[in-house]
Amino acid sequence: MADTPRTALLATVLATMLVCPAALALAPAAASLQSRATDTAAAPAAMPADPAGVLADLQAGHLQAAEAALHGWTTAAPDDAARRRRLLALVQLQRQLAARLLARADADLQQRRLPQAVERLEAALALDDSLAQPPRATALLAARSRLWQARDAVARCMPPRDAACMDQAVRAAHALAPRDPALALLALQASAWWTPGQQRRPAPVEGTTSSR
Amino acid sequence: MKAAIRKGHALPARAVACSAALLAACSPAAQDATRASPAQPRAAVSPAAQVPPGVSRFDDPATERAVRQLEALARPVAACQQAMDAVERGRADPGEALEALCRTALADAGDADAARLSARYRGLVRSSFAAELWAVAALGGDGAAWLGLARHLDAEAGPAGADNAALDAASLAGAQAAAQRAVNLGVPEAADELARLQDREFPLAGARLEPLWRAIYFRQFDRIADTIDNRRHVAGFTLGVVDICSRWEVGVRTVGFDAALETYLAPVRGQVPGRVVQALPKVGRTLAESAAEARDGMAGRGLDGVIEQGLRIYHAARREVRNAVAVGSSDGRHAGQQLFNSVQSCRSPRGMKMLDALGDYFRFMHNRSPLRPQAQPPAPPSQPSPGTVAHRQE
Repeated sequence: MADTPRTALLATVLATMLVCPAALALAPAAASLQSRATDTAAAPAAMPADPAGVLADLQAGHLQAAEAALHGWTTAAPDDAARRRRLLALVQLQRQLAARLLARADADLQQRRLPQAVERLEAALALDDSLAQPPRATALLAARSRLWQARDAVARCMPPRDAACMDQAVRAAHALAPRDPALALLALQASAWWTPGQQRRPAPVEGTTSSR
Repeated sequence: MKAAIRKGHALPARAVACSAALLAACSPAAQDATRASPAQPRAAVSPAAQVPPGVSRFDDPATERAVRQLEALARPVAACQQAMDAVERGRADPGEALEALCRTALADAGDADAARLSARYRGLVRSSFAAELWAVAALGGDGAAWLGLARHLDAEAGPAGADNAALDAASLAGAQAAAQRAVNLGVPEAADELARLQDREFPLAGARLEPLWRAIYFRQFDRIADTIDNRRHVAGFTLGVVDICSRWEVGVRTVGFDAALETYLAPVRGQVPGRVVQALPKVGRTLAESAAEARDGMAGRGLDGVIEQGLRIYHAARREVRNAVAVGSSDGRHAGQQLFNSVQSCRSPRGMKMLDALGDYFRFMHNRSPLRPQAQPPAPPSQPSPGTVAHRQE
């Protein structure tokens, strides 16, 4: 059942490519859909080379999709085979770099350097999004979400200019990451109305409405 | 927030093929030039790595370029440096592609490389990432980076010469706070920068009593002499601005603010009997004149009439003095109205900042009194008149 539309799509793409070179512009998009379809298929069917689709996958960090698409290419000419090898080498390059960054992120986390760990985790995930799958980066992802929550908590105090909220949120964020640059920037921007550790709640003045 | 930023950058940042920043490089002319001299560095964000011999090029120049840019990731630090070279020579715009590349490079670099890369990047690019790099350097103990961060935030607040009502208040406040850190660390030029930043923000330039308002606005409370006159100016200012604010913007005037103001004003109001006594010679003079008039023929009124008139004059003088004290000085009132005109709304960041600063100043002055000068040991008992709040603690 599912094969029918896919085959039809492939046939259409091939036909348009033969008929009109201008339609080549449309081909990458269609073929990219196709590459995602093969991702789920057990055995990739042979299909024409689509460097643009693979590059888009590489740039988005979808290494598995890029690799699956590359393995499914029909390589008629020797040049095609060489280009495929070049792209496969790129997949390997990105994978190794991502793995290296993730290992350093782990080390950062162990040394309690949370912002650096998260920065490296982000860089690694941008290169290879499959690293986000458990269990490889579970601890790092949890740390990232803790850091983001702490920053968000601080950012939420800012529109209402709530100094007590700010004190509390910044204290919590400091406990998590003492030298977080994002937090430092937030604190600087709040400096018009907030001074760290200064109790801004006025003591009620006796004999006035505030002491009621 | 951060998530959104990072999610946003992940895909397009690496989409190096034909982004807006690279349109020039993607134009047919540029492509031809590339074809003609493949060894030349191109106007791309990421420099072209040499294609090793025996490796097949892609027919489509954009694809070939994108592949080479990805291949440059083999040496991320060098790739980021060369991309910054291109930006510096005006052959590429600093954009998301540059940021993504340099983020990867910074994540992969060793400490020394990362410091060099970061310094160059934040000197070249103005973005939230660059601000974060300034903050990293500053938190790492580089005092001059606080000044750099101040300048960066100042530039983010708005272009030089822009109307100061149009500036981003949070960025400007951040810039001042960063400059203050630099001043505290003794960074050269930081004090000048801080003064410039404060001038850029201050909404009451040229107002009468400007130094007083400036000291309050920038919370340099200890620079303000605590005198009855200053209290009257501040009271006039506060009442002036708060009158307009509460007329236009319901809820600006809080119970806490009013209470603090009352407490601050209490010693001034306690001055009322004293001022009345000061006004007594005038009352006496008027009274004497009335008596003379009475002697000169207005016999019908007698002494009772004279006393009655004297009392009336006395009460009028007392009311006048009390009103003058209660409403504060007219200079203060004018400055308060000028503030409102300048910031447009008390809920604007600078309006709120002034109101917050006033509230803080009142709290700062809590338990201090200009009526307790060291020179006069037996302090005059400040009789709180009805409706006046006194310091119970005193």
